[in-house]
Amino acid sequence: MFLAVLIGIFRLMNLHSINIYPIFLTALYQLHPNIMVYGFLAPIVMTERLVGMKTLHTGRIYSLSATLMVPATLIGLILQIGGFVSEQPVLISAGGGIIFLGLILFIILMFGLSMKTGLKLPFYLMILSVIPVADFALLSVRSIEVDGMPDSLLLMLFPILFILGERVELSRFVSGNLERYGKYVLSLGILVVLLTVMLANFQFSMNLSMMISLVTFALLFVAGGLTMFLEAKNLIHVSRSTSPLQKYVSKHVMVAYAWLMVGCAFGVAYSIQAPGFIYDAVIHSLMVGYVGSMLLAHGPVILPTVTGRKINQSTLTLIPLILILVSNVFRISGDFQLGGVIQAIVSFASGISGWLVLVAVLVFLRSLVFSKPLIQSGPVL
Amino acid sequence: MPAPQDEEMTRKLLEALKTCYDPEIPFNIVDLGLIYGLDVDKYGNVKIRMTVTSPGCPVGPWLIDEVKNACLSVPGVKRVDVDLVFEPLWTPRRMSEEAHRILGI
Repeated sequence: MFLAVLIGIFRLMNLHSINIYPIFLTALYQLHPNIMVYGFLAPIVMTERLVGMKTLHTGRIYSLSATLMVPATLIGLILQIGGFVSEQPVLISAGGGIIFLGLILFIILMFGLSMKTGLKLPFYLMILSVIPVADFALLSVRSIEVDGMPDSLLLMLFPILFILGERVELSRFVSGNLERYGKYVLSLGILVVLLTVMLANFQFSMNLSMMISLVTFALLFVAGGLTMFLEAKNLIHVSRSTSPLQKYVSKHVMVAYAWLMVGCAFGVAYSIQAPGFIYDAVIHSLMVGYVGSMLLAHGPVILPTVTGRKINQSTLTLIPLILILVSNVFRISGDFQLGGVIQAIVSFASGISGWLVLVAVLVFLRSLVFSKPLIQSGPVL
Repeated sequence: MPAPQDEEMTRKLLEALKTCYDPEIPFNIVDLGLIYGLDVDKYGNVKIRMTVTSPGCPVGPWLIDEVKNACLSVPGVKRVDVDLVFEPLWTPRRMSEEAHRILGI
């Protein structure tokens, strides 16, 4: 994660003419999205569900999938990075194939969990989320670099839809509307994935591509809005709780949903204008705003499972969330061509906004310093 | 019939467990129906059988720690063992009437 964030920081600075070139990172600028998704988000999500596998004691094939999926994804990524830096296409191809295998193993694991738990809808959504990122792994066998919005969507849909699946998982008992509306969320998700895969794998005319992109973002907006509606009542109740952790989680989830709506709205705007300046706003509203806020929301609960240490609730703070918010506002402001002196100031602020994300991560991890071991137990992993 | 002391200890333990909450649900784990069984002996050894709302959800270890902390805060409790079980699978039917009413399910 730190590697991906640092790459993003210096790349952003260079884009805004703040010319600092850490030699060891510049070679990886083009791989910032790949490293962020395959090197951080995928392993985090896989590890989180791997815990579920251990507590449920499923069969051998699922255990094997659980054991191999994270190493396969990481080894594949390392091969691709090595191949990219050393200009060895064979390594890039091999790496893409291994990442694809790791993701297939993850899908197998999720099927196992779905069968064991009897939960279909949320797990189908989570499985659906793996399809576009697996498609990108296959496409990266030929070309590893992210080439425009279709490729970006393939990568972004993984954390976006996976998290929506987890929210639907929660909604099954905090919402009386899941039976009526849940299937629409899944249907919308299927359409979004289909359209994205089509956009990324086939050549369409400019107008048709923009139309498909517009529909994709509009459907994602509706899917996100519907999921938010399913748990709105519960979120409002939890936000009024006296528990610091519950207030912390609910605030982060609410902000995350806001960023999902904003990001999808930017996506629609991007689709009806000439591609260009709003592209960055789409990516980072969704990935830093929505996904980042959701990660911060669940970190205090997931980290104990992985580290065996429990975060002291009194050390939880909204500072990381605020830093992400400010970082995104600075960044998105820099994406709008305002002109004149204001543009120079805004461009500089945008250029350094990445550092705020790094500070946000460090402030959050500070909570681990004040953590204590779980009672009579070690890490689950 | 359990001895009066056991009943009193059980009552205190249930009250302590009512201070434990899932991070995203506005009801304690007793009202959610996550506690399947609670046994306490005269030496202060507590055994709890409990589940979580979503099998496979990683909140399990965190919640177990909350439960142990809550029980150990009750005077007389020496040791707490928690079994996380998934038989029978938890369903929203196990929630209290009040939880159903407030959440509208």
